Amino acid sequence: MRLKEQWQKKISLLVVAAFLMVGCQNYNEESESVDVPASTEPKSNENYNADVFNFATNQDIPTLDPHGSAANTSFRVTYMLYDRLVTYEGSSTEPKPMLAKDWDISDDGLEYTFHLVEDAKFHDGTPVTAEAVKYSFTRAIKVEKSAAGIFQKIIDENSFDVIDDHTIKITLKKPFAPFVSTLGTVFANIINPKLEENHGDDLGQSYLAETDMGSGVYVLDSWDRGESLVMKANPDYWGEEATMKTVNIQFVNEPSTARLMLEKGELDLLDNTMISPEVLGNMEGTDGITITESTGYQIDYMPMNIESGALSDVKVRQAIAHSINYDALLESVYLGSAERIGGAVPAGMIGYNPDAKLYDYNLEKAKSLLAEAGHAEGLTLEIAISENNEVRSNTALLLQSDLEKVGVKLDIKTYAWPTFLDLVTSGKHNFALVSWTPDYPDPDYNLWYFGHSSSKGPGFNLAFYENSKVDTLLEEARSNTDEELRISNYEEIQDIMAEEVPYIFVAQPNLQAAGREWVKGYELNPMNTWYVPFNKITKEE
Amino acid sequence: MVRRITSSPLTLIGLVIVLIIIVCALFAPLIATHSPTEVNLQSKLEAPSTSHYFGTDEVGRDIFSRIVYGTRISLRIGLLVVLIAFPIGTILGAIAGYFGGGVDQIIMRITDVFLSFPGIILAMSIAAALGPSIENVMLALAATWWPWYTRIVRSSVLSIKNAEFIEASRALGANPFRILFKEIIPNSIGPATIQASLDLGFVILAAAGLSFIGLGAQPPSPEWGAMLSNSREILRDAWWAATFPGLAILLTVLGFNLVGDGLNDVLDPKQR
Repeated sequence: MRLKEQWQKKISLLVVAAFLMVGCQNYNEESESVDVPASTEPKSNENYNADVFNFATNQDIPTLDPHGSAANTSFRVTYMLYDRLVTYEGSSTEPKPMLAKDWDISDDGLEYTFHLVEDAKFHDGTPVTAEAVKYSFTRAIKVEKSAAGIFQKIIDENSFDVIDDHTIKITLKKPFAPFVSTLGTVFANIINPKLEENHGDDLGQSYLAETDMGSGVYVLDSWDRGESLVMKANPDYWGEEATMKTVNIQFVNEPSTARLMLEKGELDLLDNTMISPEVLGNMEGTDGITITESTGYQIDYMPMNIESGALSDVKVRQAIAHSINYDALLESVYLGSAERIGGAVPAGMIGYNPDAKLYDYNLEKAKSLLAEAGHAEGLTLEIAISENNEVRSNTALLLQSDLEKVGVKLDIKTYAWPTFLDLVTSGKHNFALVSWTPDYPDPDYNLWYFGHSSSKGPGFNLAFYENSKVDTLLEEARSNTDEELRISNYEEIQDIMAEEVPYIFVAQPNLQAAGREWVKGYELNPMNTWYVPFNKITKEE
Repeated sequence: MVRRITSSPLTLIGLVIVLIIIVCALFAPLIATHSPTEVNLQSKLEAPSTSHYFGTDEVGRDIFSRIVYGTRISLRIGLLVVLIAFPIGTILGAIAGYFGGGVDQIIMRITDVFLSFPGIILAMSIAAALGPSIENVMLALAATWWPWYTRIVRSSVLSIKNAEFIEASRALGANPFRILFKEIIPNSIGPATIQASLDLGFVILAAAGLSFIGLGAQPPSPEWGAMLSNSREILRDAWWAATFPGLAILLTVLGFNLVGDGLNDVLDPKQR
């Protein structure tokens, strides 16, 4: 008897559960049918606010110290909190004057004299002087993090002469053609020298990690790690006043949640790396939403660690290059909004070599190359990727099925971003999938990192590639201002590297960002893909 | 006993589900309509149809076939984890209960340490430390699961260790290990067995959870949790890619739970 009662109870529970499920479904249908007329109603959204800009990203900000971070999410914020001598605007890759009104370059290309604007003030009221410039660059070098890399072998602590309060002369150790371009990067942000009072024993890195000491158009208002970061317009800004009075950067982990919030108007713009091309395609045409698209300097590539096992044989690397079905990959993963390139310099940048060898999809050739290398019976390799990136995981799956056809078994290993970085920079990988965007528009940037033997590992030469000819060509081009010679060197390097295939450049994808239609004046910068001109954007309903 | 099981409809439903899963696992190549790992870009994200019963995923793999092959992975994880954790837990529990004193203290404090962590957190940290793979997930889950059996077995050993038949074999001069393995364990293992049958479902669920966050199965393995995780971003545009793996997990866990519940009702003397 008791037994029976129990079963009855259980059955009734099940029935209730079933009703609940049905109920949920009804609810969904109802809400959808309510939504449809609401969204076709012209131009009214309760979440619209012309002075507040809501931006969403799914990547956390590690630190706000401009000299201590190479993360795009940090760049986006510190580019607004701080000023630089020169800056990049809109979709331009040419540096424009900012704190430096103008500058003179000596004929030998070694001495740069910058004349600063006179009314710039840090957020605490202290004027921005030549001393501050000297202090900031010296600190960038001393901190020895990401920022130091771009000044390496070019300037050091003794390169600065403060001529007067608003004039500074920087003397390079060697001529370096893209020097002014590097001064527009986040690493060249000018910091208030008062930071010295809070230096502690780490040059103020921990102090500056969560605060701002800049002269920028925005002031840090609040930062709740993993939740949101709020910036307010600087009322005393020396330059043009910011259009968006409040910028709210929200951390939304799930791209699908962000998409919903965007559709409701709670967000104005999404981080361009957040949504996969697949989903962007489906969002196209949604009412009130627009997808901004632009060609970019981003390259998605696959380093092959030439120090590990079978991949040290150039024939194996060429075989791999022949066994990838590039067209299918571009079509299905990037939905056609990407181009294939042959070298490390993206199309559109000076020094791009359109004639660099492209490997064709040729399974027979791949098999015979593998056989020549002694792997006729097949081999097993690993590809490392970082998690939460739809493009990379789908690319890896395609590579896996492509390589299987030539007898190469590919194991896909997915890691959290920090673990992944550690693994590939210490050379414990065979293959990896990485994206790369240069910080200044010069082939020196990509090729030095990818090809120079001193960049192996942490310097992001993830193929651990070494070729003395390439080293010589790179060094010669870096210390020369003759544009023609530089370009011919860079093109030659791309040819050499295409022959030896330490990297396969899978795609140069177009940049795509999803946002509200009411956002006006947002352009994707081909280089600084993270750049959002919060101070120039307007919202018009 | 068979009659008692078949007389309760819910247990019967559970049994049918479990049987279907076992059949799927055993005859996966016969049941599946496509290869579970073959990428086919021409047919990506196709809605369910007669050629793809459950549709296809982002790279054109047949979801039905992946789910069928996925039963092998899930069953293997469930069975192996329980088969590792159950004997360890049982033997330790029996030793703790029977010998008592210092041995009991040491064993039970160790199990307390394990039980003081939320199970899934402990499994996550072990799996993360060992590196993401199915084998490591099984190790991690086994490491978090055994203390439960230790506790259950110990308490039932305590209740029978002074029973007359134990006293009798002790009086006959049997050595402690003989008593432990021939008398104590067989007579106190019942509740732990029921727990184990219930746990099969929970282990599968936990393993799917670990794979969901990327610590378990690696691509292209058709593990349900990983499938769910990969397809959740496109849920609104291709509902089938995440829904069917989710349903597979739901039904499997439900099936094992119903069977475990049924066994509990049948075997537990208090409910008879």
